[in-house]
Amino acid sequence: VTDPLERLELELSSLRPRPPAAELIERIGAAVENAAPSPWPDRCLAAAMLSGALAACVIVAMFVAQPSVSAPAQTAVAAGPQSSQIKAYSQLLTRAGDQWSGALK
Amino acid sequence: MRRPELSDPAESWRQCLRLHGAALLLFARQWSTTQADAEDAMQNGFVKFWKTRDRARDPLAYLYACVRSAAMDLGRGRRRRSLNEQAAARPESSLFDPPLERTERQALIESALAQLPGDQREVVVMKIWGGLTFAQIAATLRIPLNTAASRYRYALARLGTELAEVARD
Repeated sequence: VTDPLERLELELSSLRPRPPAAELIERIGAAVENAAPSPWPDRCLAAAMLSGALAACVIVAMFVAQPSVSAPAQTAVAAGPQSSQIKAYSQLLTRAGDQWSGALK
Repeated sequence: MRRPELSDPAESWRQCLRLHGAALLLFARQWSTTQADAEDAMQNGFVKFWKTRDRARDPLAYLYACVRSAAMDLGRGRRRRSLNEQAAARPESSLFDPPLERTERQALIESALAQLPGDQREVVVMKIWGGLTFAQIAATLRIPLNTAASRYRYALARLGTELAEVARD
């Protein structure tokens, strides 16, 4: 090794940084174990959320499908004008009948 | 290249600390006012790393980034960065082993290292004692690879000059 910077690099590498104290390692260990992600509860939560979402989809689908079931009600509403028309026709016929009967007399 | 164990046996965090603990503590020390702050930063950074390590593209770079960010957060809460650099320039105890047999040369190196600007010093610590590649250093600091390499070269040149001047005196 001839380059002075390489020599310096080697010299620096030969120095060993002080390792963390055992107390610090224990402290970190305790913190890591308390903070360790627990996969099973997470999976249970994910499964619960998924089934909730599925249930919500089913409910929404049922609501969406409902208008076709209530079609007769719409027909009944639609029948409203028809029945009033029939009423009007019969009134006209009655009046016309009176006129015809008058004319015939 | 040494890498943290990412399989999840109970002892793996311990093994990871055994491999990287000393360099991480030295790295945290670069941005901390006191050794106690550096230890807190290392703890916070390591715990954050451990919880989220699965998302890391490069675990070693991510580990250093977590510790750096924790040290910065702690430092921000207490003092400004410039004050931290000044404090880091006056270590209260030796940064290297064995402190009891600290040679004059070792003291000179520590002193010269402390004189470096923070951004150069952290690159030296990561490269020499952390064993990170320039690509990993660049990822840790979110700087271009060439910048990481040039900071390292400037730092070594400056250290060399500093040590040569002291030796001449």
